[in-house]
Amino acid sequence: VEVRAEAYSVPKVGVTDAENEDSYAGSAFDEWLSCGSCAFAVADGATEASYSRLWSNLLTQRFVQAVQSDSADIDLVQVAASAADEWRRHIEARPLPWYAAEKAASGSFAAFAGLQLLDQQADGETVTRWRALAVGDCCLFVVRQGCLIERFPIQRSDDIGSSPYLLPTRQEFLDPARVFTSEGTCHSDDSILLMSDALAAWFLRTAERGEQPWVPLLDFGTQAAVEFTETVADLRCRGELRNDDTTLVRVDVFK
Amino acid sequence: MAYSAEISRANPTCFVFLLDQSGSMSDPFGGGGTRKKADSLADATNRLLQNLVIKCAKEEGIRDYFHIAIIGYGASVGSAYSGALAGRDIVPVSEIGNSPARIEERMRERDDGAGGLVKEQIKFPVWVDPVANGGTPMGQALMRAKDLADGWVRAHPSGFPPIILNITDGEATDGDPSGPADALRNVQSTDGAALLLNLHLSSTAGVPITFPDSEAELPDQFAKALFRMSSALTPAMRTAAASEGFRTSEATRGFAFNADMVSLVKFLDIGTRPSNLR
Repeated sequence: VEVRAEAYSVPKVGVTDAENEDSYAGSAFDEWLSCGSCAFAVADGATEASYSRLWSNLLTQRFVQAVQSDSADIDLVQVAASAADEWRRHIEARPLPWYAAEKAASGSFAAFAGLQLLDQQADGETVTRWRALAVGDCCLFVVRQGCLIERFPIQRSDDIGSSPYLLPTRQEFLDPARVFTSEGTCHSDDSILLMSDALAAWFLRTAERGEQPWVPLLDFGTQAAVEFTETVADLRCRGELRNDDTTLVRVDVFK
Repeated sequence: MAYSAEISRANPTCFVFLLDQSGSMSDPFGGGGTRKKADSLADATNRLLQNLVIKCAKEEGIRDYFHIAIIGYGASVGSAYSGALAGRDIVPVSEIGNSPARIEERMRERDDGAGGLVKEQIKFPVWVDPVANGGTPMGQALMRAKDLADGWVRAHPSGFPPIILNITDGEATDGDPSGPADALRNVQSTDGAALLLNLHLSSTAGVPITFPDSEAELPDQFAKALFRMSSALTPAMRTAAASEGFRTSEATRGFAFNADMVSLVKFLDIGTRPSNLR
């Protein structure tokens, strides 16, 4: 099995690219990749916390690195604990004014969705298994032959609000029961979509109306980044997409 | 839908705090304590400002989602900021965070996670000092707030409307304040009318009451009058109040008696707020 992944991210209107608190990471983008053991992730740092971009970035990077260095099932709680140590070391190295120190003491928070792809032997054949891990309202969807066969971890658009349970840097705020997992087997021509909450809410709402929101997301051509930015701007303009940082990672599977 | 405007640096909103600084604020609270109402009011205001600053703090500094005026009323009506901000009306929250009059070291008790309490030293920034002097010109203060709200709405016609929090021990000395309160609640942006919230600090003993939906349970005529002057809670405020354990209905108003209202600033949506952030 080979995969090819593309990633797009657009900040909310009114903030700069450097203030985009969504992050993504992957084993490789824009090139063919034979699966073996590879990974992709999206995270969305909370606006109402500080150093959220740093936290979402560390989570996605360390998750992908963990998968690449260990082909076993990844323990997200362990990855987050080690990323949180790194986050703290970054913060402790800086002198902070009173408000920044107080805010940093509460830690940072992010929603996270990660995808692990693993080749396994079954009955003499190589099967590629996908495994998804998520906390909060970053979502993963699997589209097969024009049908949405997996919605994870959130099933309905109404369940995406402005106060989700998020992955914290402070471990005492983490309830391991809020880390969700799902898994399945990859088929040829499957597309796996990872996205942050604003796009996920639009995606679910559109699917709930019986439409096929994946169609525009699967069809980006050679000017893909421009097309994604235009699609997001158009949806925001029509009031269909909340003004929020918006990120999509699309993983296409081929046999 | 009203009260749905995005609050951002490009579309900030405005708070006006009205602080009763009349002579009667040097009396203690009802219920037998010795602490003066003026001291509690200054502490509550400083804590509220601290909460607003921290809410807007990011790694690069403080984002100006909010602009805040603090108006005192007693011997006179005017800015209650101390220190570098003295005399100023509406101040961006970034300037507030960077310009406290002083930062005190105080002790607070914190849950140790094992059922006990530990004491820890904290930094307590101070912008407002206790004052208790003169009458209670609440009508004038409400008109001052109306002028500030009018000016704000002219400059931000489609923004989230101004929020005014009046903290008083109740009895106006410059006539019936309900007319000025009505005028203030009639200030409108396209997103809705200005919101007037009242916090009554009383010398009368009585259980604290937060967000009542009728005046029947309130202990005196001043509390009842303040209840009638208060705006109904917006749907987002009701959701925030409910998440703090308060029962609310469509008749619930932004009024509290001998209670604190820090929870009310939490409803302001400036982006994702983690549900596990305590």
